[in-house]
Amino acid sequence: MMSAPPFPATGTTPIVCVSAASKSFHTPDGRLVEALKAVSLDIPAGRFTTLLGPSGCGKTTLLRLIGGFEEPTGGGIFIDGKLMEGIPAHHRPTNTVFQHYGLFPHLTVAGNVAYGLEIAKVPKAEIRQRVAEALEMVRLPGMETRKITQLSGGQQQRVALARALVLRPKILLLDEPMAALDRKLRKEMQTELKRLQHELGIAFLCVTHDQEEALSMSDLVVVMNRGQIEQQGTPRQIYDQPETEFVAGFVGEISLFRGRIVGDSLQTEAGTTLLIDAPGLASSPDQPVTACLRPEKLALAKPDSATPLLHGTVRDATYLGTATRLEVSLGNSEGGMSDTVIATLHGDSPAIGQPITLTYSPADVRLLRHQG
Amino acid sequence: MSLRPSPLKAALLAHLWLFFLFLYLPIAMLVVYSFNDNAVSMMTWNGFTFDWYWRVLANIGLISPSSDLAGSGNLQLYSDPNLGPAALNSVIVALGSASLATVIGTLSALGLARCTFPGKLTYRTALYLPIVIPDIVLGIALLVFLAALSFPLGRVSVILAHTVFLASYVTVVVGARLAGMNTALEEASADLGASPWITFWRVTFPQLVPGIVGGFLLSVVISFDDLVIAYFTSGVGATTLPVYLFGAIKRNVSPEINAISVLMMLLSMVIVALALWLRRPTRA
Amino acid sequence: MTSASPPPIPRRPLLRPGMGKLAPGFFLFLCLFLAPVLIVVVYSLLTRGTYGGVVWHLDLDSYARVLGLPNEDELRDWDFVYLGIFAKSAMIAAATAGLTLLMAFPAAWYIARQPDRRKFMLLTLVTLPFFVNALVRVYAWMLILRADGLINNLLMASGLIDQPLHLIYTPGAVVVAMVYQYLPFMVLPLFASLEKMDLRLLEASRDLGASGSTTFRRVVLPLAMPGIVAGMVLVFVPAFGNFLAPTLIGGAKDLQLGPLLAQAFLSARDWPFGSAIATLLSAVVLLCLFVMARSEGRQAKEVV
Repeated sequence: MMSAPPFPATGTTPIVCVSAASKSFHTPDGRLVEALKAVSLDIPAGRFTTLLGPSGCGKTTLLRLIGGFEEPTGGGIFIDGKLMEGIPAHHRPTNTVFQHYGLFPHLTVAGNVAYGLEIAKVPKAEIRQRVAEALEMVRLPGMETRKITQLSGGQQQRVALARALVLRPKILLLDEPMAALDRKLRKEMQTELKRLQHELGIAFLCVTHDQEEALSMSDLVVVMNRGQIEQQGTPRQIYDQPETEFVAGFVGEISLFRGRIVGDSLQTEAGTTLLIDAPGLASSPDQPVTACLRPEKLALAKPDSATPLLHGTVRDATYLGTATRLEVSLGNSEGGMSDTVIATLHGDSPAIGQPITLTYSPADVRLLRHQG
Repeated sequence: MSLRPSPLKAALLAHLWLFFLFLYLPIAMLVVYSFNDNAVSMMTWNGFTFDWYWRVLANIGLISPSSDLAGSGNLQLYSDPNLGPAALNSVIVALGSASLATVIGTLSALGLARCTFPGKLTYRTALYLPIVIPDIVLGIALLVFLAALSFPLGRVSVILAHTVFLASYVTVVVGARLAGMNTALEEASADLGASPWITFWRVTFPQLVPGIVGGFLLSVVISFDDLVIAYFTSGVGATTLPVYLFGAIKRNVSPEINAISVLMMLLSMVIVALALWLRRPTRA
Repeated sequence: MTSASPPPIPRRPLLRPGMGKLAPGFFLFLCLFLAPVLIVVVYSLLTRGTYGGVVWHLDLDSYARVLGLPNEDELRDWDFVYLGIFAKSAMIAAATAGLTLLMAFPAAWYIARQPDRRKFMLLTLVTLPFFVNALVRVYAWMLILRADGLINNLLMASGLIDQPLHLIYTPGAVVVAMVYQYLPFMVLPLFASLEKMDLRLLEASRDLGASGSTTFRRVVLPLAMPGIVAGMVLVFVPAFGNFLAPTLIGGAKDLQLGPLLAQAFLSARDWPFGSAIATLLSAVVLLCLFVMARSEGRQAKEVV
């Protein structure tokens, strides 16, 4: 199920190697849940990687397996080349920023940040210095003596970051770090995290369900669904070249066409013909295929356009400020099925109920792997 | 805050006052009449005196029998050498069983909170049983059990008996405190390199301490006040204070009973107030 | 299941790390609760020894005696006195539970509507008397109800009566003393239920035209039912087997289960018989607890 690694093999070994890891458990009422199904993944050193997917897809489970909070029921986890089987969380070279930060309420900011250093029996003078450095790094200088309960959400998150980073882990794990922040703070923190990761050069592994966040922060995006990896790649690859229906639909909006290959186009059951520019098409005639098209790849057809056309009626129009999002029903509006296409257009567009002709470039049409 | 019409609200308030009156009047009455200077008819007011209290203290041995305080009249007549040892037994039993119960109960609460195993729910419910069944059934069962083992009845038997249901109380109290705790804290501690042992002492325990101390104090009070179970399991030599008082009430010997009752009550209330204050809802 | 065979799931070991903590509590429970209770049940099936204690000879006669069945060997005829004692104890306990409910409900309602600080303080005030020695609390009622007690003294002194009223050593006195003992047990579960109640439901009911009493009957009562059932059981169960109140304040001719048990074990030394009574008492208690658990479970499933 793995795609080709997006980074050319430069000789750097991945910092974390997940090898056919599975995790199953029994619910209280006796059902068996497979949270992860033989997942294999290489997490590159020094890069920002994100596990992206809906709730229940297994991304948090995978994070917890790497962090050592749970053991896989099959397969193994290698960190820096070493197998982590049987090694509990407190012996692993990972540190975690938890979803609700997990700051110790009975300790001050300094007490929290210094906690791991004290456990490691670092000399007191060094602790003080490293705590101060860590707080500087997350832009909270001088906050050592504050109580946790006096901090805002954003400040608490920074303390959690400082607490984890002060220990110089091989990889920093972040469990939905933005989930508890409001929108404006979220944008700020996204930039902050990216900056930190660049400065420190440590691998960051972030778990999120917010695809915008994933695309903006990451070097490598791993899309997961139902305990398995659907696709991994750079943000651009994930967006422009989705390989499965799930990835296409989860990341951004998309129009899907299901049908059969006839000549050099796809014919849907509703009668739409979509011209496709893909090699080797003729070798699999009459096979069921799925193709997709991003909304911004569609444009209003000019009267003498030479590019392929789609005729339909506007069913819905939403003004987004920067553009207009249209839902268009293709073909005859009466009787039988019709395909729906989503298009984002700039400038004027026909009103609801009006006929419309759209155009596209066959090169922008992506064939997806057909799901069983 | 609510849209109730006023007459209903006034009625509710009146009911509440009567309710609290009902709850506290008998106790207040007992306190008042414990100062009644009437050796013959306890409930006919005849003037104020501390006599009974001084005699109780003298009988326990906290003041000398011949001191001026206990001077008014027939002290020797009312001297009861059994009161002191009974009080001592109660204190020893209470401290002993409360300590054992706190340790065992806390361990059980920790085990229940952190592990899952088949039958956990059943076990957890079963642990409530010692608290809910009528104490007489527990007292009898323990008497029978100890007799079957030919185990001598004495302080130790009472301590063991009390520990059984006190441990369940502590499990409930500490368990409630644990349930309110954030599990991410323990994972965070492990993530930062602390072994489970260190995590317990540096993170879990500091959060639990008010619950543990509260459970201990509550156990002390409940053990100190218990009559029925001690009645069945103390045998002859280890009479506790409530058992002694029970006998004294049935014989209706002297108004000292009132003083003893009030002193016991005071002790219980103080410890309980302390325990409840420790368990007050704190800012999360 | 997917088409490929899933990796075999290792069986979870029964003893997991951390379960050692449960060991002391488990042994305590096993040895000092479960074992004694089981021994009582076993003893109830044995025969009485001549000098007290038991003889290992299986015999259902103890139960027969309790249930009132005749026995030719023992020259015993039908005699339902013990069943009568069970019934009387049950009635007194039920009366206690009912009276407690009536007294506690308005108080719990009021407290549930207070701001948080007040709530905690009021609840503490309600619970404090519970921790006063039960013996002392029953004794206080003896002092109130006796022929030379508070009530009679006041009534005689004010000239309303010239002969003391016979208040003590009656079933009524026992009920009052037990209500006094168990009032907090009723207030707390009621409070828990009432606090969770959404006041807006009451407003909605009024808005739809229901009068105060109808709203109470059709909205408040059903929603408060779990608290009511819990409170009733938590009062009935200990009241049923109460020893103190009937012994000190109940009449000698209205014998109840508690004193009966004490008699069987301590003075009559008829352990099999006493064990039979204790077993039956426990069975009734377990039944009540089961009913309460079922009612809670049913309520949990009926999500509004």
